[in-house]
Amino acid sequence: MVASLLILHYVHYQKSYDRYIESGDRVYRLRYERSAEGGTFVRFSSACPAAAPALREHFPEIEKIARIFRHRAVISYQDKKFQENRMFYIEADFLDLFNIDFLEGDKDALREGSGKAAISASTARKYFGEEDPLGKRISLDQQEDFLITGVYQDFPENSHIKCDILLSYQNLVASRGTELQQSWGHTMFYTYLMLKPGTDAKSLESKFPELIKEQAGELMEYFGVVIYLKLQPLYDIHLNSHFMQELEANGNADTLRYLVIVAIFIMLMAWVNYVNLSTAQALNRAREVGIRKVIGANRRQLIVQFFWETILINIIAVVIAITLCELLLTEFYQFAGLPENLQFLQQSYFWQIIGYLFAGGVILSGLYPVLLLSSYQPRKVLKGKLGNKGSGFGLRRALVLFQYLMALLLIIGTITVSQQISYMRNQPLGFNMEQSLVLKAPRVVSGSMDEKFETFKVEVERLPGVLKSAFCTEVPGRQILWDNGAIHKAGDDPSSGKNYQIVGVDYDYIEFFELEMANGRGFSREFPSDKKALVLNEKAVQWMGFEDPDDAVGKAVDYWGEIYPIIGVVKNFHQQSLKADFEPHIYRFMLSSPRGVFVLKLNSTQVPVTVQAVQKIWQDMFSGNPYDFFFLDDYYNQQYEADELFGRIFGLFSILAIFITSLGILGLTAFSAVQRSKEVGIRKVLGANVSDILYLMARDYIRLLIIAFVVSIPLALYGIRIWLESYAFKMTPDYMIFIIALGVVGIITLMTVFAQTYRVATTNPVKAIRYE
Amino acid sequence: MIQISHLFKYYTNKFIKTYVLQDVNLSVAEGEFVTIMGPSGAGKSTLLYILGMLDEANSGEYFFRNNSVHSLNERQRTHLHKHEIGFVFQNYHLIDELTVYENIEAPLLYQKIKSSDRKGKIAEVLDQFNIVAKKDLFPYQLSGGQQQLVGIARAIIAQPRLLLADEPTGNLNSAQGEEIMELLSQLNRQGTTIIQVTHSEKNAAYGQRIIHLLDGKVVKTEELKKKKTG
Repeated sequence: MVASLLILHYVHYQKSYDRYIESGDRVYRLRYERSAEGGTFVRFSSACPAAAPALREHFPEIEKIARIFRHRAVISYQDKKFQENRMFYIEADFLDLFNIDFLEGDKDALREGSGKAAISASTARKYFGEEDPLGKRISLDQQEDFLITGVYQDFPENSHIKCDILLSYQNLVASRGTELQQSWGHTMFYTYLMLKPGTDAKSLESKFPELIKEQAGELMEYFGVVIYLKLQPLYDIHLNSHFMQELEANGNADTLRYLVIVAIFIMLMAWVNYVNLSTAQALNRAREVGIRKVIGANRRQLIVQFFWETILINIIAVVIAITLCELLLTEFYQFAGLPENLQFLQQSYFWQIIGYLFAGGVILSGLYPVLLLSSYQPRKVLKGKLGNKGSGFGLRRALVLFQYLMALLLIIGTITVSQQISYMRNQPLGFNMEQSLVLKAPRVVSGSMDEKFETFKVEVERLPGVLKSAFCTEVPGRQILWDNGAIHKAGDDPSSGKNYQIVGVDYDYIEFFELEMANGRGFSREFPSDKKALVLNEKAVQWMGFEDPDDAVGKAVDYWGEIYPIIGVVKNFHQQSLKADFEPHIYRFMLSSPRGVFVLKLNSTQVPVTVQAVQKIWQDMFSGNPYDFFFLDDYYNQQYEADELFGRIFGLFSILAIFITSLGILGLTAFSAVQRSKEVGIRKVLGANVSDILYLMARDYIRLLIIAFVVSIPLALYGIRIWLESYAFKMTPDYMIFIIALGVVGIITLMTVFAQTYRVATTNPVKAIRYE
Repeated sequence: MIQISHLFKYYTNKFIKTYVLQDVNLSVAEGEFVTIMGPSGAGKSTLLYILGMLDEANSGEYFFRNNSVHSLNERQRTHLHKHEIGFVFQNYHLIDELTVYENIEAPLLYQKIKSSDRKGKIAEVLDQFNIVAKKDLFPYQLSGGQQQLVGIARAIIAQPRLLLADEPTGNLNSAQGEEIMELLSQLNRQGTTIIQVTHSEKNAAYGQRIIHLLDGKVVKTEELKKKKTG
């Protein structure tokens, strides 16, 4: 019960995402999709900047629509400097769409004009401490100043978007130019809209293609692409959205579904135990029922009596469950990675669940035994004519069978999940990420960025703790965010252009990660012309229509009208976790970018010292920029966190399931050992020895277990197939897992049965036979 | 066949020994039909169970066909008891979940006798006891007399040399009782040694010797004339 409550709590939290927004059922996110002839299809979570104004103009059923644009930059106030990653330029309607709650200042100030900013309460504390932030000026990358006009309540944890700083949209227009605002080709403009009540989103969506054709027809024809705009309900975002450029890693609806199923299983198993034990007990209580009936109780009175007993037991269970939940909550939050201030006892849904569990418990676990008990014929009962055949025997078997099935499936599931994770972790990645320190590139650099970056690498490589270094725009560990469409083989028809992921890299990138070349070479200082050349990966070679890497090297690529020769092809490597398939990459030459990173390979000794030494160089060269670093292996392995959490939760609950099952079996064998003590005595007189008796008692369970095992195989295979579908690189299921699961459950059953039966099997049969 | 000397059996309760059997000496020859009689609590059943190796004495010697039972280990004793001894109980002690056929089969299973041999033996016994028609019924579908017939059938299926019967007719009416006693004496004539416990003088008359027990002691041994009937 505790377990189910906690799981359901977790599920509820995940489902609660964005529910805090008033009339959120009318709020949608506008998404941009682009398909190119020849198959590439990219789905973004954001939209193009031109979409919102066009929609606002053409569709009166849209009540509000707002674009926001994320900007990552360094914000400073006096001597305080922080890299801000959750900063957005926003259009005014955004404030209403997300019910942003202003604690101080004027909400409307941000609607007009430029150079204004609103900050969240926690951001205010970070920069200003106890001071009043209103009227203060913060500086963005030490280039632009913003006046703080408001402080708002932090976005809740269960919001798919969390903004720390909101900036006037006008400043974005000013800094990036008005041309961008009319683009149908760029994305990254997250667009949210609210429909007027009663508007059908689907029919509105169906009107989009026409508008897009009217506004962007030429563009689409030129690049040979089709653009789509989609409406995504706000409530779907957290659990069902896995598009490019998501604001934060979203949850997984499938995982939640599995967890709900597990929670229900566990609850059912517990109830099954109760039914099993109480029907078994019923035989013992049959005499009581008989006597009560003889002294005049009618059936209804008996039902009432037994029902009260069930209710009482359930009340006790609920109270214990709530107490345990409260005690375990903190650990559970840590375990499941939830924020800790959810106040879950105060939430009405919690009591609702309790109510359901209670009602379910009373009805499911109470009804059957109660009816069974009250139906006994007193005459038969008192004469002792109630065998242990009939009277719930068949039901008990079915229930034990069910429990076995659950336990087997859970064990198989746990092993599968952990095998897939270890499979993914143990595959060669195709690159070396050991001892790699990643530094986020400085945003504010005086003088030539290229030169500074090159000098920095030379400087750090002088440190004894640094073996080598490189610069690139993306390190392995996530999907590459930079992608460009309409790229094709030089000389081919432009309509054959496809979408590729672009990584800017320096001379040392390929050597740094020890990437293997399929053909050709990497960028080299010896060839000045390399600055205008490309390296592809094997997948990109295939996409572009070359026969093989040998064919590609020496040919050229048409990249938006410019012709780049291909100088080399790298073998595919796992840029992302093995959940994702290989994607076509194009490596461009690039010495610097404010969005890039430095990677440094460290000597394994004295890492902290080296990190500090690098910091010193950093501060000398890039003062004013935060020293923000992480280790590549941690970063890369974060991709498996969700799976590992899933595996952990699954594992925990399968242990619980086995425990519940064995408790049930324990109770039942304890009971049947007593029930059958006479039979055991007789059999011993007839010459049965201890092992015969143990076999006799365990036989039923073994038979049920084997049936459950046979049933579980197709179910588990089906489940495993479904689950593995979301992984691009799948392990081949090892059929030993079935045997292991069977073994685990079998051994636990036998141990349980033996522990209970051994005493009966070894007692002197005379006792059982002589004293009735 | 059986040689018992200086047999003691007691229960200890709060350091007080309560004797159930005191210095019992007894010998039974192969092929005998012996009756143990005595009031309730005299130790009759205890003696029977010790003879049947289901219970152990605290001291004394017990030789069964020249095996010194008192010094055998559990395994050897089980072996002896499995192959040489059959039991019949006052309340039959059939296994409720098994049919007549399966009840009779049970001892053979524990002796690891092959399936085909089992079938033959059971068919023979069912035939001999005239209960072929009842072989697929469960115990509760039978009358007491019929249940006891099954009980005896089960006891002799493995062809034991010794049959121990604890008040075999105690729960039966007199007609049924007589039928059972006739069956026992018939088995005795065919060579099975029988020791029975009973309260009934009439049943005791079927045997050749009566041993009277009182407070755990043999107080009298009575030789009966052998019946020459049948």
